[in-house]
Amino acid sequence: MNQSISRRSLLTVLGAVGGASAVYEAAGALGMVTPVLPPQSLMLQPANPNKNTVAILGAGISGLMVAYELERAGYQCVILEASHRAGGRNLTLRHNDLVDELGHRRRCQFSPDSKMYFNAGPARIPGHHQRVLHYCKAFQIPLQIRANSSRLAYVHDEVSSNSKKSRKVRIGEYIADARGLLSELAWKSADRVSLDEPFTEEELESLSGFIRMYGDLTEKGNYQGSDRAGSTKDRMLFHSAPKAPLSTQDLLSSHFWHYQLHATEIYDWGAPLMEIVGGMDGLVKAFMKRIHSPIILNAMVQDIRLRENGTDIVYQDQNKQSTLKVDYCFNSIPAHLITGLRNNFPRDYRQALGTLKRGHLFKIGLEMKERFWEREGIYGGITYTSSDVGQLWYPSHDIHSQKGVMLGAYVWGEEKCAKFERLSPQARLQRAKECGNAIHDNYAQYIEAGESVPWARMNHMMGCGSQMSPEDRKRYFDRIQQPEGHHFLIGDQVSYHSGWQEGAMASAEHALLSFDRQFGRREHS
Amino acid sequence: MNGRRILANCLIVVVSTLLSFSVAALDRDLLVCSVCHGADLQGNKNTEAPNIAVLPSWYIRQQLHSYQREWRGAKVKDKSGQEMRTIALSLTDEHIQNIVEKIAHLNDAMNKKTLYEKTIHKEISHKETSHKEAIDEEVKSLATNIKSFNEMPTDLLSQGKKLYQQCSACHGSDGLGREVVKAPPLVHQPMWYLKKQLNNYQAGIRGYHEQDSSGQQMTSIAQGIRSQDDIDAVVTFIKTL
Ligand SMILES: Cc1cc2nc3c(=O)[nH]c(=O)nc-3n(C[C@H](O)[C@H](O)[C@H](O)COP(=O)(O)OP(=O)(O)OC[C@H]3O[C@@H](n4cnc5c(N)ncnc54)[C@H](O)[C@@H]3O)c2cc1C
Repeated sequence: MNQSISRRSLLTVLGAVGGASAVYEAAGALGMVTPVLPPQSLMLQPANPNKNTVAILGAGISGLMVAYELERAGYQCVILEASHRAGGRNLTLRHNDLVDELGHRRRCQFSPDSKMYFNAGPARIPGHHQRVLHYCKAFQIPLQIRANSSRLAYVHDEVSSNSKKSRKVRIGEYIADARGLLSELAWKSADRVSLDEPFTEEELESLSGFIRMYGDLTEKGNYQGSDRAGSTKDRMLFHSAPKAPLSTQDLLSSHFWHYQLHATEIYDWGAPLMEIVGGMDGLVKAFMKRIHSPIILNAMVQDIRLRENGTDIVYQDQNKQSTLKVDYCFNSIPAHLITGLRNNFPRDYRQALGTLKRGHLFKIGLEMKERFWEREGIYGGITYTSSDVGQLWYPSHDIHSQKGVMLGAYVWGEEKCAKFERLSPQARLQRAKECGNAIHDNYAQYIEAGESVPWARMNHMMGCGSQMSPEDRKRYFDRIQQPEGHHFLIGDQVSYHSGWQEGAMASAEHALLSFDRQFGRREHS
Repeated sequence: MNGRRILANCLIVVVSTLLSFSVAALDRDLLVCSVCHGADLQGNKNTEAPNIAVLPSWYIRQQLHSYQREWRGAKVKDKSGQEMRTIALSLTDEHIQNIVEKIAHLNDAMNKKTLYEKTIHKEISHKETSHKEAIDEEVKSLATNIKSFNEMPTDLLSQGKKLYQQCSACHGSDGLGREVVKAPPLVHQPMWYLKKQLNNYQAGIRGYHEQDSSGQQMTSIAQGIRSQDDIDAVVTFIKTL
């Protein structure tokens, strides 16, 4: 390699040529640490004045990003959005906002207080979602840390193995005891196992030292509880007195053991996470402020016609139908809804679109008149429960103020979401109260208002976190990632990370860069 | 509007669609239906929504009332039925009347549009799949061993034909349905939907209510169909009508 090119400058060159993904791969290949992209602007070539009209279908995060970038490059954009609002799944609910659920259209009941908001869609951003963070930084959107985990929050099992009663322990206690159990096992077998070669004496000693520290074992390798989980006496005035460890049976039978315990190990959920001050829709508002092209709300796309040199879009806006004749189209409408629109897509493209299936996610936000969780030592983080509500999230902003909005349910998957989706909004709240009461004393009494958002029932959405089977992904993902003529499909659905704004932005970036390569002015002038 | 350029200034051509290929604007109530049932209300497999554009007024009314009365969509296992039930419950009688009228209207318009497209605008549909191809896609979507409509084993079709005899008593030998016996048209429904409904009747999650006499009748007929292969055979045969 030419010595005058430093690794970093090489990455910059690659960035200009191959876009972000080239940088990403190269950074990995050069043996640098797990690559995290430096924030980078898309430098699209200026638009060709004779061929510069673009229709953007859907004003979610991906559509807004495309509009913003294309507008900067001189394109004439029109954004068509079926809903009464821009933002798509990036939805923060406040007092009197319309909750547009099919069959249960209603207004958000929260009190008119700017701090009473509920991030019904995205709520967290990890430090490696560099595309999202790039825009947050460029638009000077204030961020704050969102505590995604708290060792003082709870693990709650409705029925524990032996007692048949529900059981609630602090997460810290559960983790300490789980590690204790595993360490004891490891300690007992450390001198008997070997990996490739037998351990040397020193290695064995080092390993044992680690095992002891990992589980907080005694000198003899026993686990007898740990003050990592706190103490039954005041730790400041007395020698700490750990609680007796949970039984092995209790540990193994908990829902927490298999999955949730490890949730914060997931790359996107690793602390610290961030959130936008005042609500995640700060990102939507920032885009809206900077985009000058018309964003037509209540404009439902009905027909997409590919032409030799462009696209025709038919949409209905109130009672009027109009056709937009444009050179290019970027489409973020959920694929499971596109398949219901009139179109002249080639068969294989339509087939590929049909492989994207609806996902199910469900959240409840509760306005609480007191921050009772803080009295229990909980400042942010998540309680995990085996009951229907799945998770309770405590806010980590506005600590010690009087009130707060907490998440009273976060549910994934078709079966579990169905339990709430089929209920009326009132009945859902009732269920959330029952589940919450089993975890916090007098829980229901603190609730002043609540809103539920079943994403698979929301108008113009009918799903979130689109699913593609592994076989379909192999066969069709490339197909939907490639444009069809002058039509580019975008959105988190065209990423390996659906259900994350970073996925939506990555797909938008990918589409913009391939658009630029194919139709950018330099190559055509 | 906070500095946003108004649409008229934009270079993009916005033309009235009267000259174009689409049908008239949808009524407000139908617009809501179209989220799941598709822009033409002709159904969308990915939202498990059937073709409602072709349904006669009496049937739409009857089914919406069934949903409202817990005759349909009240069983936990019938997930899409539950979705529909939620919506049906939010509709007033006036809504239902309006929907029924507007769909009847749409039906007329669609027929005219099809004619129009066929005669004047042939080039528009040049890329669209032919009817045969569309059936092929449907056949595949049943996930049976049948690869294509053309290669359909003749014994399957003859089995379907045999089975259809009892259906034809009410739904007619043309599959267009008959109001007098409360039998809806079948021919325009996608195969996956017909199959799913037969399965629902068999599983007791449709046609379960004792007052739902036509539903109960369908249940006993569906339960007489012995295998999934037979169901595939009969829904495939319906496509040939
Ligand atoms: C419960 C939940 C939790 C989440 N948590 C996080 C998180 O913590 N962090 C994170 O980064 N991401 C999170 N996400 C994911 C994030 O919300 C999405 O990835 C992102 O908002 C998707 O943007 P998009 O542009 O791809 O699609 P969308 O936002 O779905 O935009 C599609 C748009 O198309 C419009 N549309 C539909 N039909 C039509 C039509 N016929 N005509 C015109 N327009 C139409 C829709 O109204 C919508 O505005 C979460 C999502 C949910 C639901």
